[in-house]
Amino acid sequence: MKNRVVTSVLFIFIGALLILFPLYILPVCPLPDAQAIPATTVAGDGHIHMHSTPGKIMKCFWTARAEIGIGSLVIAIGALVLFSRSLFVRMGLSMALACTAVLAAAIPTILIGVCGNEMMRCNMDAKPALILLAIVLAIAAISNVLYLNKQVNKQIR
Amino acid sequence: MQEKPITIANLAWRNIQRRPFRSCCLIIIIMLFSATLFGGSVLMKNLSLGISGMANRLGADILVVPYGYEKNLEVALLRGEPSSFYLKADLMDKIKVIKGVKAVSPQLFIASLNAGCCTSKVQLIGFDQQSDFVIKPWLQTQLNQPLNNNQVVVGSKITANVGDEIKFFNHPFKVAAKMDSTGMGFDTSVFMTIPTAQLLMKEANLIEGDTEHFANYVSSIFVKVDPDYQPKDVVNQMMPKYAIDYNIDFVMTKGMLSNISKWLNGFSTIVYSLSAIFWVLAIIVIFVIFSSSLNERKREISLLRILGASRSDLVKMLLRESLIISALGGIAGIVIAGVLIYAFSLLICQSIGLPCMNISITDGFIYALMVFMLTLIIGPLSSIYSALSLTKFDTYQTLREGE
Repeated sequence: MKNRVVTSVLFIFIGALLILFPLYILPVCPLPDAQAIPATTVAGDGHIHMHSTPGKIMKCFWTARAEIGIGSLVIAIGALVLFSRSLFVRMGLSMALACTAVLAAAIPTILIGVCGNEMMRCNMDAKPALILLAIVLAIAAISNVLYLNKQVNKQIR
Repeated sequence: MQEKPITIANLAWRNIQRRPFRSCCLIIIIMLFSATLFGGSVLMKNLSLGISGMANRLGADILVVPYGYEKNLEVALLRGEPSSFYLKADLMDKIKVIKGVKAVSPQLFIASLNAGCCTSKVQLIGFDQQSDFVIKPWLQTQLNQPLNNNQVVVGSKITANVGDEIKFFNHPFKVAAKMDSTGMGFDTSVFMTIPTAQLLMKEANLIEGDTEHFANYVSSIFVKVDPDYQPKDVVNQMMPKYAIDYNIDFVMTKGMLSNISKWLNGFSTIVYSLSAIFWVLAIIVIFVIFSSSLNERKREISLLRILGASRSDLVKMLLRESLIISALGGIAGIVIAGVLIYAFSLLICQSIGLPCMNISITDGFIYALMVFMLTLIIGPLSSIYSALSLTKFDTYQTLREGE
């Protein structure tokens, strides 16, 4: 019971942070203003333009969107952990969370990425925060798998 | 499965595991100390490296700016926040002849637009190639030939490499060279010749008013003073002659840097005071907890004595327990602070608004080792009294207590 509550609360908390960080706490770049001419560096067709076309949505926006989905999934799995009495089911859910953590880290780095310029806020704030959250989630999930495995072995004995 | 034999070493570890909440609280207190000390020390080192790097390579002793724009220039230099301000260029010829002036070089600042999505602050700077002594020392590779009207030099944090094409206000430029990391505003700046900058401003309609004579204006004049003279004396010569006529002010780089150093000293005092508080707090808390658990553990210790453990074994066990807690707290604090500083170094530097460079791995390791050693002392120091007093009581009496 204790393990269920503690791990479930932890997973739900991390899931909530995965949503809150790119949106509010350390947000990605804001949506473009229709009137503004963004002074940015966009790599494409071999050229780099310091001023992109007005209203262009950048990669980090989609990264934030994807992280909302992943965060929701983590919250849902966290809630399932709370209601699962079986050790094996909780082990399975924790393994799924460990894999989800890899996905959460891959979104801002490999799969979608963030804006190209190092000094942009998505690159300075949101990206490292998301990677760290993903690492914490992976460590928590793997530790829980190991702990539950130990409990299962104890029960078998 | 075979059980592990009971030894003093694994008894200490089992004692820690048996009281997870108490152990976790103690580890967290020690972690706070090591994280504050390690994180603060690394951050201060990063800042002092940035400031000393800037002092060594900035080159100029005096910066001449239009009156009221001293802060804008400091902000442009330190953080690269774009701004535009102008003064008459003919002042340069007058400064050159002043006694004690070794070199003079002008710069023209263009604040690029920074609105909308994913905005990056880019300061466009025009510099004079012949007289320049500020930009050249930072170049990664030397320029083989002077920049032409379609070439630029970019700061280290601009996402473009040598040979790439880069567009400003729809005007394409070729990247001719890239600068080393300066830790200051130059990292997010783009440099071009003054005529190119003036042309760009005209093309992009960035100037209003006296557009015909715009070539006669620059943003700031960088002055290098002869080592035999004091920058203050040179300023004293310039001030009465030109300060009112040209409506200018002077920024002494040494003064600017000493202000930053003063701030850094204040910051280091806070960090070290906080670390000292956490250090003392950790010692007191561990001392109180170990002392208060003395009564609770009397029977446990007596049993161990009956089982054959000597007094020195018991002291060793208790000291080992506190040592393990200290080591775990120390490692956790150093790892957490290290990861956070590494991940958010850019954000931290940007928020503080000062130039900073990353500490080398060797220096980081030395800091970590020093903090770890200081952390290791906490446990044994605070538990030595409890450990010694625990072995003084009578084993038989303790076991019979409560019967």
